[in-house]
Amino acid sequence: MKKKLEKGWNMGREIGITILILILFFGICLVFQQILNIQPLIPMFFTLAVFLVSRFTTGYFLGVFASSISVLAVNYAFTFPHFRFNFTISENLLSAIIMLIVTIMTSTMTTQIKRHEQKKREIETERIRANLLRAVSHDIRTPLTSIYGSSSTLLECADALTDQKKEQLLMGIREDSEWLTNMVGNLLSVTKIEGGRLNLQIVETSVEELIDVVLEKFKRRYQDQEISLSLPDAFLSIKVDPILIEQVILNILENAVQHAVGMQAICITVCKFGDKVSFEIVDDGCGIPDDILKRLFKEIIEKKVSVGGYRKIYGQDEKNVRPIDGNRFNMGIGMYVCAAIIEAHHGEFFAKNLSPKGCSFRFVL
Amino acid sequence: MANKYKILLIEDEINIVNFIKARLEANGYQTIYANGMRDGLMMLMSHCPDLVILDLGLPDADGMEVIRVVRKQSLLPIIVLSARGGEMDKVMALDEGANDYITKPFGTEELLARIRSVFRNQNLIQYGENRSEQYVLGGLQIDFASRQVFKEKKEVHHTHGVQHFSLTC
Repeated sequence: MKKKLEKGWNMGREIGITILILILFFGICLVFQQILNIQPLIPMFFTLAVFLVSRFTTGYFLGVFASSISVLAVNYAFTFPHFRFNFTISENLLSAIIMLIVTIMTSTMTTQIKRHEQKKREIETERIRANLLRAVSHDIRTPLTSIYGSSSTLLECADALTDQKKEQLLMGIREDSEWLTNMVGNLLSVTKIEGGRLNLQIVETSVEELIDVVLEKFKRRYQDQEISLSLPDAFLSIKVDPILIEQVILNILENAVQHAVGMQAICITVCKFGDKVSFEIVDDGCGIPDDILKRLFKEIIEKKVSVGGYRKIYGQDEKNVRPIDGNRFNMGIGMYVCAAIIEAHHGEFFAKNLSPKGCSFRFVL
Repeated sequence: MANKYKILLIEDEINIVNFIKARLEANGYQTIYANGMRDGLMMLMSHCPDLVILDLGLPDADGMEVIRVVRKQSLLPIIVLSARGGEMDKVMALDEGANDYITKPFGTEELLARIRSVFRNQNLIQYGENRSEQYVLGGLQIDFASRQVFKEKKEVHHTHGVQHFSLTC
């Protein structure tokens, strides 16, 4: 239903473009003929009009339609006898054929370009999806191994374990289950994204409440990390999908905890920014390497902790694809998802490094 | 007290280390662990383990590199643990010299069985096919499985592996 509507809308728009171009060029030609009295340029103008129509519409129909109209128009208004049809002039027939050729060739080319572009986009999406799946299936295996192994160890040789050991294993199970839960949350957001668009459930949300929920979830996972808050005094509310925005903030906070080396303080600042609301999350960790910063929101990035460098999980060509284990890649999928969520809210997302240290993530909704 | 087999575990996921360590120790193996290639190779030099359990995805290098370095120097048995389940991954690791390959997630019983199997094979290679679990020569008795040496039925304490012992006596 929605698709049909969209198709109808596109069709209408293309017809509009066609008519507009034709009227515009007809007008120009009239001016040229009546006021400036330049005759020979007119067929050329119409050729240009036909070219433009074919370029900016899909299929052959509108192009052919425009070229026939143009031929008729030239015949009717711009060749002697003026403002009367005369089909006996061979010049007219010739110009009609030329216009038709231009139309058909341009339309073919346009269609081919469009098809090519679409194919390229499809391949790109497919590649991202495949890589994501590969990365995810690997990432899920590691906590699963730990849960499986720890629980069976607990069950099968409980006698040989000290209480401390048992607790350690149980904590491991809990930690990895939490990690998996988080991962599933992120994955769900990814599946909601389709071609850069997201199905949002927009609700009027109080900013204070939103931040509260985030902090509560965060505290549950990282008890020791303090977060300072700066909220405006006035009551603020925004129209967003609260669950997704919560996830954005949570992802940024988590990145700070996991990847910002030497980070001690995190600060969340919310303020009114014109008629919008700005959220800023600042940490005082090691910052983000420049090359990563540039493509942070565009690609899925994986980080290798000990080498101190990040690497993409896919290279430009297949040879560059490296095995994707080693470290879990929360960061990449997280930021990619965050950027998509903010974009879907028509918001703006910024990330920059601060001097002397730390980095700031800011989004405006 | 039997002279335990010493197993070096090279793995960076602490939760996985914890349960494998607990399980191995419950089964009478001495376990040490390292969380990366650099530490792993260092532990290898200083502790002379009898077996290495190696995760391929290490933070500072690829596990394959570890296999290559170890194989340049010794025939120390290596069991690879990896989340990479592709056939080519297995082929590559085994061809580089790994003795066995286990994909994550795995059962601990399976891991233990594979460790036993690797040790069995290792003993076969070192002491020939006809060797039984025990070697008896006059009053000297060597039990390879429990790594105990007896002289006139009295246990002889030794610090090194039996292979070393057998060379010296």
